[in-house]
Amino acid sequence: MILATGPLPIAFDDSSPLHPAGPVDEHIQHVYTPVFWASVALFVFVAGLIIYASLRFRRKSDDEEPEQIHGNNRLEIAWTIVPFLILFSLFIVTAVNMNFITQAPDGALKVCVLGQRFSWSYFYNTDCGAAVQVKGGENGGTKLGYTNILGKRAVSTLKVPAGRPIALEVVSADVNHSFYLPTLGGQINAIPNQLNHMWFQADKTGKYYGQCTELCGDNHYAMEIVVEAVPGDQFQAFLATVDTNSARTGSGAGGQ
Amino acid sequence: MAVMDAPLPRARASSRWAKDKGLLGWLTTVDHKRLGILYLYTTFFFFLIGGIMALLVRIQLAEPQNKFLTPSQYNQIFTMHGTTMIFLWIIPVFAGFGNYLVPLMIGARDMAFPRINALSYWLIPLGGMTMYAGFLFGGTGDAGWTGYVPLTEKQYSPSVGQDLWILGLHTLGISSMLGGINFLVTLHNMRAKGMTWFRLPLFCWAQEVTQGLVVLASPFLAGALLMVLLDRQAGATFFAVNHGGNALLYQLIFWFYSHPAVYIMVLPAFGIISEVIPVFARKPIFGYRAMAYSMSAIAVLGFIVFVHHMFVTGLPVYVQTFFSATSMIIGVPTGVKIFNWAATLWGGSIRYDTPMLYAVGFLLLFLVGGVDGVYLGSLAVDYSLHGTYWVVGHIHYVLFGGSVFGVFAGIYYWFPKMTGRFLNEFLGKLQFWVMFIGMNLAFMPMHVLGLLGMPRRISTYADEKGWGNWNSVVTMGAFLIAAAVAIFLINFFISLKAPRNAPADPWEGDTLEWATTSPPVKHNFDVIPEVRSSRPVRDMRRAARKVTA
Repeated sequence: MILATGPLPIAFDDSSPLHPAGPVDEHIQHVYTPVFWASVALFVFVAGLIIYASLRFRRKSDDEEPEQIHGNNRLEIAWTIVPFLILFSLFIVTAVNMNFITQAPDGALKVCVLGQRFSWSYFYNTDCGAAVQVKGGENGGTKLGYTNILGKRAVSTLKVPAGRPIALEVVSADVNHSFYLPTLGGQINAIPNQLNHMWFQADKTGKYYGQCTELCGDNHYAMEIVVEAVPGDQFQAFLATVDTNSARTGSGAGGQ
Repeated sequence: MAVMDAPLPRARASSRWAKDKGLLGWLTTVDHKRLGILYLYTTFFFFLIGGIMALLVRIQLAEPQNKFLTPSQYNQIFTMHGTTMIFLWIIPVFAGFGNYLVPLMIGARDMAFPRINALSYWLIPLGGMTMYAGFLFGGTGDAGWTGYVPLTEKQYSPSVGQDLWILGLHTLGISSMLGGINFLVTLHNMRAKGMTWFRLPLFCWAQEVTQGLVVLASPFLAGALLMVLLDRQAGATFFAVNHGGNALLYQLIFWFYSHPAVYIMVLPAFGIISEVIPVFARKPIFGYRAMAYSMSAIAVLGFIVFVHHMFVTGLPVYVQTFFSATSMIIGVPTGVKIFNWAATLWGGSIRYDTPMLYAVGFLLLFLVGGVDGVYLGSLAVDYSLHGTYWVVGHIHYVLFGGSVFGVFAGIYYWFPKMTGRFLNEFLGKLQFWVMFIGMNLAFMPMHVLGLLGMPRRISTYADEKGWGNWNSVVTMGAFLIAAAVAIFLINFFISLKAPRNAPADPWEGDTLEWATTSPPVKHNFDVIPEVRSSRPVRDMRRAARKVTA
């Protein structure tokens, strides 16, 4: 089964988008798989043509003069139209999946994701809307205090209920970052003063890993993402502990 | 059109160039051939420096948790690797080939503006030194070759190295634009009698299209860099989000230049391949007009695909979908070119001298770089591969397997013309095979790493990620490439001492540079040849054969 192992004979571990752990990455794989087979077919055909021609038509004697063919309109039209059709159908496969991949279903749990050098903070049942009301000069113009504005307690592991869609709003407190969950749902940039959206759902309980994919400074390599999917009742209990804690001041976990 | 078709007596011509002697002659030269050679030497020097940077990066990544470089050093070094290879090697090395060859191929005596030509050359070492001067002042730019804001804003990159990086890049941009205008004027006004647009060698077509892109697109890079510089040094707030600026604006301007720049980096290689393949297959290029049109189509489409670099920045989905469509469609003219090259091989009489090996290698490797690009053009797949090593693999198949193999095809092909000597064939073929194997070892596993979720631009990674073994393979490949470059250097220095036995037309060429001596006389041609087809030198050979027969 292609989707289970990925179409390559390589053991991809759990950090690979070829191992979908939820519906968003599954839909990405619905696009990846046809792209993969089309590209393999194109490569084998064209590379075969090149290798065959370059071996078959080697010069045998120094005074042979091959037929001087300048072109062939029919052939040239064919190899314009056929690749166009192949590429265009891959585009259609892409386009029909985009709605599912980008639109979070109703009733999804809302989480605000705040990227800051070099960690991520998560705020439950909050939209980041308030956080992006940036006011110049309040912090000496050098640092933005999103966590203060949000006034909610942040956590540094994204604990989510398994089997429930999660709608993320993603924003950055400083430079650009990218929130990447390879097995769950692709990625979206975290950009200061701009609200970006993505959604995912972890079908099974367990831990899922990703990390920042947009260069953000010296410790870019260490900006890890951990998603922990737990059963729904456990999640409710967890959420209660987060909410009863009083609003924390200061920057989020790992902030400067 | 053909403004210089009068025969120029050799004595008078030589006296005009007589001052070009010794070191001072080289430093003050305005001769397009000497400037071309200066370009080639300078850019190859930077290729070696950029290659050393790549090896340092690969040593650091060869195993998990390596401490060979600090994260800060790593960021500087990979930034300088990318910037050097793009702006100090690939773009200007093709300007070097263009400088040397365009006037010869179109039957002109020099570029249209020889002094501006000298200026565009001298700005390159200046720009390069400005950028590298960062190492003397506490560190170079370290925000990647893309230099995204807010990371390059003063509060996050306070070092003077980032300013030097901007100024150096700015200088190189000026060099490109001056050169671009010079090429366009030369190509439009100085073609020999009878050289119509559809008799123009495809190398010159490639230069025409490339330099058009340079002139139209480079001002956007200059604008973006200037805005960052003003933000950093003059208190401007173009991108300062807490003062009403917009961080995403930079990417829109930057990629409006930098996607066409990918074609600036690869179209001239298309040109070189389109010269080499017909000559060594003894056939005319298949579908000459389609080749010229497809390059033009790539250039035009190249301006409306740039948003695929920004698929994960949160732009509206309908905008992204449009750019996903254009990004897939741009594969069509590229495919036309590959099919036409293959059809040129088909039914030919192919001789495998080193330039031809590189040309066929180019076809196969560039094909990989075209096919793996489709994944990134598909919006959905890009969500899971954007910013991973898949992108690094893709760009290296295009720019190393494509552009750099094109450069080596060109070096081996025109070395006899430029020096009157041949490069050693055995070493040339050895270099090809080592480089071909090395580059696949280095860049194919990057696709696997991308599919394993390894982000680009990370300075190290944990063992548990399972990326260690593939990274070791990549590093081995990088060192094989270095060995291939060392073989080339040995070949080069040996061959400079070889006898001057290259005839005017060693490969049975088609184009006008083979109609003059090797190396060419300073005024290029005693008599500017008249052109009656797209293969004038072949016409001359056949006419001469008829006379003797």
